[in-house]
Amino acid sequence: MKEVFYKGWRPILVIILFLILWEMSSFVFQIPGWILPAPSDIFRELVVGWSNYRDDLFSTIQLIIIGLTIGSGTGIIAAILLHLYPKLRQAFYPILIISQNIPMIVLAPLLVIWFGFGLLPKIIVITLVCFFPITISLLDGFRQTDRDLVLYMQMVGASKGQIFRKLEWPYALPFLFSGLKISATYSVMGAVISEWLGASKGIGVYMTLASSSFRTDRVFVAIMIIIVLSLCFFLFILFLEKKFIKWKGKEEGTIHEIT
Amino acid sequence: MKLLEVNHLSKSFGNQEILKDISFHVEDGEFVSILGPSGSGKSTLFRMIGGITKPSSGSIILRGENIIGKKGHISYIPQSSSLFPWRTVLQNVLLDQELSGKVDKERAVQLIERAGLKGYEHAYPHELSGGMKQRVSFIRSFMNPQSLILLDEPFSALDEFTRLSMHKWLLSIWSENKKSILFVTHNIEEALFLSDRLIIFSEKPANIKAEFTLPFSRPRNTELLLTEPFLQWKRKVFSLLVNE
Repeated sequence: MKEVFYKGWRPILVIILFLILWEMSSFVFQIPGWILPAPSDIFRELVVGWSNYRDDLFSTIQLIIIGLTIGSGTGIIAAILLHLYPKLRQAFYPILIISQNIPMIVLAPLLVIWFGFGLLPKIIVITLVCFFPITISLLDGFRQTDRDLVLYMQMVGASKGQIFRKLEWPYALPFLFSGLKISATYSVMGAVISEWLGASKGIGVYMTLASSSFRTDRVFVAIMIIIVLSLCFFLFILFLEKKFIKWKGKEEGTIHEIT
Repeated sequence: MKLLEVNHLSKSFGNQEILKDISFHVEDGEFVSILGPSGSGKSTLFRMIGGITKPSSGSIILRGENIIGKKGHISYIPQSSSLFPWRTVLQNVLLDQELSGKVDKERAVQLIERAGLKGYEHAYPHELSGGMKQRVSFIRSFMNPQSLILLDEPFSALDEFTRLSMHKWLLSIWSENKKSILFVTHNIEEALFLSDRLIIFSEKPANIKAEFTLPFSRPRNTELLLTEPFLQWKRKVFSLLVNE
């Protein structure tokens, strides 16, 4: 904990200074609240307006959890299939990359036309945003599997399935987690974007309503919520990583006396 | 009884001839060393015995059965210890048995204790020294049900002191577990100290330059290294390797 504070005090100081500067300039220059509200106004709205956005918050969290689960599941399955069947990889890898170049803002309204205003188009948006970092980093992990270890497995007669289960999959787990960390933060953005499409509840809806009624303080509340949510999901993945990958604690750790 | 028979084995990659007409055999329970300069096709030979690479011509017979292109008939100790970093010492030692089905945890624990690694059963490889890792790698292949072990320069990354104690330790577990060993090295001293028979490879394309049966009695001690007969053998092999 002490270490966290020791490393973290610099960025925290910068943020505090920035907030003070912001607060003072809105006071000195008399900036109207609908253009740029002071930090103190935003915090007040965050606390006082809790009942206004509570339902939106829970609905968005639920959407993120569903979307992230389905998105990362899709990503993992895609990576395994593309790895185990090299011909599939040759066929689909370029298409995967192209799929990431389609702007989500353009695709989203189309998804509404095709699938309506329900949960499905929203989950598709989050999945599209989430699966790519996972598939790519997992594929990298499979490909970078230590050649010496693969040779060992082949020499002692391991089957292709055994090599995958006992060597390539555990080897790629740290790669999976780095993909998951990116996807977790993306999934929050994905959820908000998908709510802009048309939803009755959600932080995206709250944000749209706030900005169209010039409640700029509420827009900033929404931004803060999005930041905090992203951080929470990121930390959750970090926690899972620490739990599952104990062996990577220290790379070349303590060397004992040679016996 | 002949365990492994290699007959007129040749291998070329494109126009490059790597191995040329290699013939030798390994008896049941025998320790045979192949001594040759680095890059003389020794690892290619191992890959062919392991069934990963197919020879251009010749045959490899194990217990009367042709094993060309067939995997899973040997056990293997590689140059680097090749332990799985996410497996504990005990789990690493059991890997080969998991692949073939039957797992004998009790014997694994016994062998780990005999190797002086008691208390490290649940340690991860990154917590071990180079010599300890290599011991774990040896135990793993002694746990493998196959009776022929291929040893691929497993001492080359160790310092002199660790190497000497590893030699003695290897001879002791080898004498307790009825296994045959085919050992590849470029270190004259360790080849002479460890083996029953010595096969000397020439440089590219590799073929057999000479074959000796060593007269030293077992069990062998480190003192052997400084006796006159041992040094004479060393000179003899050295001049053979140097004079092309």
